[in-house]
Amino acid sequence: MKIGVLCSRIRPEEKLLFQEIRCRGHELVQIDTRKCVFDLQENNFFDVDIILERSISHTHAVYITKILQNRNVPIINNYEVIQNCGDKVITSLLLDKYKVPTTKVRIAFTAKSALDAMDELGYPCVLKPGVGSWGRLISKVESRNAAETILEHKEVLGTYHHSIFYIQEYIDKPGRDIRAFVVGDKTICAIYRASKHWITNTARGGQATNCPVTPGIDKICRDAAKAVDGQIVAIDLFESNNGFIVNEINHTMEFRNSIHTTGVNIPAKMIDYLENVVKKGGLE
Amino acid sequence: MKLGILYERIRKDEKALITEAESRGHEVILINDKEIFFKLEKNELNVDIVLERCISHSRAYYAMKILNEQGISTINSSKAADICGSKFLVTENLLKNKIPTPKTIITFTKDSALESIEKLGYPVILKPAIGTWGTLCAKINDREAAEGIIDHKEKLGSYHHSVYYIQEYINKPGRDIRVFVVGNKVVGAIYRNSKHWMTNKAGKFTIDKCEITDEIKKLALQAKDAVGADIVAIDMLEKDNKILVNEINYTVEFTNFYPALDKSIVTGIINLVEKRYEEVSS
Repeated sequence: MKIGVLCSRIRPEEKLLFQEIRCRGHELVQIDTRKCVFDLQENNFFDVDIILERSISHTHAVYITKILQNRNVPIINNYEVIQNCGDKVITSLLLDKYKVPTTKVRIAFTAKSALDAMDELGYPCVLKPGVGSWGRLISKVESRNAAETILEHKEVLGTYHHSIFYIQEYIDKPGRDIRAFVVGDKTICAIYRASKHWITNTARGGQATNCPVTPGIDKICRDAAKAVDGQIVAIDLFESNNGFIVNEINHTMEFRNSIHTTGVNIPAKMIDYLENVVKKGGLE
Repeated sequence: MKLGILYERIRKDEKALITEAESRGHEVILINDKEIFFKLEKNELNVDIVLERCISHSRAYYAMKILNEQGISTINSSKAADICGSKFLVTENLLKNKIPTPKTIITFTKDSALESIEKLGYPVILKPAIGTWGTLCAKINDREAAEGIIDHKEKLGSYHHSVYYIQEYINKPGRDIRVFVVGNKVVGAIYRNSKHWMTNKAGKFTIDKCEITDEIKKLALQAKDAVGADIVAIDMLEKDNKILVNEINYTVEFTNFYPALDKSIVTGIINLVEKRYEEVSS
């Protein structure tokens, strides 16, 4: 079959996926978002059976998946999943709606009301951009003084997207969090990410070790994936005093540090999933 | 009913709506989007339904998204706000429903934007895919202007400006048409006359009443349904003998257009809110 991969910069993850696609005898169609031109009057853009979305730019992924879906091209993850995961406000809303354990979150639109929300939630708390990744511009706010300074910087220096204040309860975790990978309706593997820093992203120096997928981890991850309609997603979990809680869900996840650590061939599982979707005649 | 009004400033429009709702015995609860914060795990607003009258699109959208997911109806819905707030989604929904609209190209980098502009031919219009009041909309007359503007967008813009929404220029007869729809009724239409290519540039336009022809009526109702909205102001362009739908606004301003627009739009809006409240509470 013909598998399109939507990407811009090729990371180690994309190289592994290309290899997996080619060694199975499929035709790989690389679609570089930087070269894409969509005349919206047209209806046929790519001759492929399915597309895997691996764009680094969230914005580009949002537009392109919508254009292709409107023209009945199956794409994984699809537009809805990308919206649900790429926007933390929507992720949190859906987790709450489907009663998946998650952190308390407040949303405000001005520095003044954000400060009120932080006072109500208590310190320390966490301030995040509603849209963003790799732990960038995430702040742990220890006190009201710190809150005032950070909020002022955000309001004066940020673009309009920074005027959506996403404020999260701080979870005192045991020096690590868990990242679990869900493909279809299976939790295929998980890692611990340990760091002395409160942000544990491996992109920011967190150390990965294998985390066995217990029934508890499996259940909360599948529930979380279902809440956002996720097809291939990575779920970030905290171990809290009240059990596991979901922090974030990622839709175009990096996994280079997780293959050897877990012994699970993540790209192979992803391509298995794509093959199955095509065999079943597309997404439901 | 307990009618929440989500707002930033009480302008003439909001005053008229509040007066009408209160005169019918409804309790109006004012929700200022600059002061409120939302708890995602539970709704604490004691309202039956919310009418959105914000100025900022992002505040309107997120506030309504939160309310809708928590089970509170809003007018318009967050889904309609999401679509109408994005010129790209409006164009896609119009095309999907075969409603005439200017030719549009979407692309993501400087080089492919230039290539697309050359292909479409000058003059062209470059717009931010998300934005209001014509901010940063540009009419580009030649290649030099295209290079200059794209360069500025690339160097100075935030990541949202890495989407190039490129549109065919429509040589309209010095005016556009704004059509007001409330529910399933076209309640008014006006011409906005201006010498500037962007009719609403800096609010410098004159207003005339526009006759609601069968074509305008049909297009307006189709366009409203295409974006799934309840109350909209639809901007249309005249090209030769045809009418094209250009943009759709979901927080409709109306008092500025009196008397070309009939004041009964206020009663129409509150009627619609009452009707929706009956539907959701039964």
